[in-house]
Amino acid sequence: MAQVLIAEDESFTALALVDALEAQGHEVREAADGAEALEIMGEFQPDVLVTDLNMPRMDGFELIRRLNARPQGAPPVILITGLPRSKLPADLIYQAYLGKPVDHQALYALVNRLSAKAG
Amino acid sequence: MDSFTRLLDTHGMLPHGFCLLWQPGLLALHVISDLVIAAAYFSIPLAILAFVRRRTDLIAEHRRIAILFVLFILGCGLTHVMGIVVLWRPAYWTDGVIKGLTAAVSLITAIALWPVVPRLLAVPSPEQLANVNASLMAEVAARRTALEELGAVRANLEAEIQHRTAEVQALARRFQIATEGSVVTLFEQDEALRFTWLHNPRPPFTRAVLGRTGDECLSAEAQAVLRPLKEQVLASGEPLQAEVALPMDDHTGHFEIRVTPAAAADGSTGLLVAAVDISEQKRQQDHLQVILRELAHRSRNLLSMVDGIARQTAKAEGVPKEFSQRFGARLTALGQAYDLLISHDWRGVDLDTLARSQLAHLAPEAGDRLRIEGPSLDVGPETGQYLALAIHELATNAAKYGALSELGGQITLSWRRLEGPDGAPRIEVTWDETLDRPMSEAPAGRRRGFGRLLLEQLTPRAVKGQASLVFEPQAVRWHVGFPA
Repeated sequence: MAQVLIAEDESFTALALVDALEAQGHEVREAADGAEALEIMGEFQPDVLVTDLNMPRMDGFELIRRLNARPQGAPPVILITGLPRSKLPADLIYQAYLGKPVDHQALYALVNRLSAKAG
Repeated sequence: MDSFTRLLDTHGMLPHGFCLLWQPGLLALHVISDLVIAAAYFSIPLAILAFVRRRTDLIAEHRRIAILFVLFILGCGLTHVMGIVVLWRPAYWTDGVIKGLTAAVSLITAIALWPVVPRLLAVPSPEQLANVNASLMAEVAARRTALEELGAVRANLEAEIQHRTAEVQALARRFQIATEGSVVTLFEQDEALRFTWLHNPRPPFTRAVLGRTGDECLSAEAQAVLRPLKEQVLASGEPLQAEVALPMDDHTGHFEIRVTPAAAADGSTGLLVAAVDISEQKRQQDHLQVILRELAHRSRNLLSMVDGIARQTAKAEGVPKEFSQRFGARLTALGQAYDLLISHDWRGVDLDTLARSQLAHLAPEAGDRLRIEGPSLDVGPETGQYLALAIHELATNAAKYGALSELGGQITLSWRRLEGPDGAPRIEVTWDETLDRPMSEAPAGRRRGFGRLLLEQLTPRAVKGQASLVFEPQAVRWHVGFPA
């Protein structure tokens, strides 16, 4: 099973994702924004990062930029956002995209695939 | 002197009166007759001379003939005078000389007259002149009538021109009022693309461009955009319309350009160009795009939130997990349809794009078992949303119970455009699913559940059409038809 960090400011969405992934047997931690995600990653090394883009304090763009700036780089990133994929900046580094509301079956498949690669 | 003396010499000769026996009556007859003749002969030359002097238009030839006649008749007159003289005085030499001179003048006159006769004959008679004059008068009258008619026509034409001029001026006034201060700039360019006329100038088409070519007064970037359009119109003779972006001093101006070939006064072909500045419209469109994107973003976040609330509610109420999964999946399908609609400015969506978007998660595993066929057809936003949900529902059932489950089979999703019974264009969408083996479990659509409600009632109602759903042991067929 994988370690998954979810960065999502909307509580119901975050809770639904946590429940869904935990039900699949994954170890899941939750952050309300990018800054909290960075704090959690000080003690929790996720195999996969599931992150929203529009968040208060630190948004997903900045979170991904800072993670990629680390010597060890960023974990595989699954974007969950209301922004259409076509409107995402070209220089944004991520491995997968899921539009909101999230298709849980697709999320399970992506987490499994990316965590397997990371492992 | 001898000759002069001889002329006066009467020696030895008898006066002519002797021959008349000095009979008084006979003498009187001769004298009176000769006097009358002489008087007449002297008066005729005077009349001729008076005539010649007054008729200054006589040609030289006629004048010469007249002078010869004067001399000839004068000579004749003198011979009659001499006829009286010689009655009493026998000056026959003098009489003879005068007769000789008269004979010479007569001869010269006769010789000179004959060649002139044909030309004199050609001189019109008074009757001919009267006829000619009459016809000339008639012609003059006809010309006068024609002139009067022409005058009337000219007056009508002038009135018409004044009327038309007033109309053109009114039109020009309306044109001026309508376009002055508007976002429309009009200009003409000659064959060499030199600006010859400009109306309602707006940057970059200012008054400074007049008399110059685009290369001389517009930026190289603007010319790179405009010149090919103009050259294309000059070459083809066909008008052309295009939306162009032109670099300005501090921003980019957006213009709707219409280039039309126009004949110049010298017969050469130039261009009439209407440039509508749509920069503000473009800015508002961009702003609307931002708003639409933000709306889409918030809508999808809201759907996500609704999904989360539903899941937590279901969990708290002990509702089976399948409810949350299916509800969430339906919301996801709706969100995907939103994405497509937003990316098309909520104007509609292409059926092929919509179908592939809803079936994308199944396509890799389905492979050849899933076929999507149909021409490029756009449907409206409302129709797009419901078709997305319907396709999602059918695909979910197929994955769980049908052709995309372990039973195996084939699905063809197709659509076509056709003419309805009333002649209006229609679109028909068909889901044709055949299974390799009979279904062992009843699919959700077979029950009176959400799927059936959506496919048989909600979707046809939303698209203002008709739908049919048929379940057979080894087939599922859904058909919906609606106005295009």
